[in-house]
Amino acid sequence: MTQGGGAQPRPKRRAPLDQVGTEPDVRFSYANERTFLAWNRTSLALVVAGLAIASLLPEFELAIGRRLIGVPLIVLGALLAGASHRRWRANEVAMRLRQPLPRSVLPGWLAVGVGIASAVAAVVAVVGGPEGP
Amino acid sequence: MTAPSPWEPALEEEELPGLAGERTDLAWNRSSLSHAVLAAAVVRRTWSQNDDVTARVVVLCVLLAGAGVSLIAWWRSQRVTRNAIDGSGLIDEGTLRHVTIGALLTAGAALVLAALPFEE
Repeated sequence: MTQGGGAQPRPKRRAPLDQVGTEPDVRFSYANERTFLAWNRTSLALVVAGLAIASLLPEFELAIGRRLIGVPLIVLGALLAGASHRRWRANEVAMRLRQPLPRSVLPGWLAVGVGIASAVAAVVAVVGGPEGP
Repeated sequence: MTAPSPWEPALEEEELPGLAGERTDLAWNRSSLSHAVLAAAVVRRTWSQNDDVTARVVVLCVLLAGAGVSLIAWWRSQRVTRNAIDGSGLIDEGTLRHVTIGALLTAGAALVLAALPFEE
């Protein structure tokens, strides 16, 4: 029973993973790690694609056309990079506590983000595509 | 008869833990190469395009972040297979955190480069 009626202070740091639950099968831990690396490479690919679009494509008639397509892809890559680490940790904690894996939102983010970038690219191509040679 | 927990090893071992370590080793090698190639490509393509000091500082940051993450990933790949066999150091949260930070720094630098005007 707490004194003063106040809420319990939140722990300043999360417990190290090796102090949570019990060690899962090594194959599950490594599968989780490989999944994190796959998302990390996907985020890099989005960053490279966004940068290439923003800097390597010829100028569009619409002045900000290249950046309009490239910058959201870079932002999506950054979001996936950060979220993939949180996903890895949540999976590892669930495995160590013998709980079901939490649902992943990363595939949805990726699908929506690429879809939006594609739609923007289509609009830019119609409205203000690359300037003529 | 209760169903086996999903986290229990299979009754018939189809593969030894060592093979999982090898696959993880390869995944780290792929990631190491990806970061290195990205950094080299960005530097190669953008260094000469822009004389602006800000752009060159950002490009150097991309190079350092990419090289750093590449080295960390390579180091992790060397340890993974051995750790899978002797069961030590299976979780390396620090390495994964550093890789994430490197990717975020690279994305931030790319954002700055994308916003800068390039000389055609």
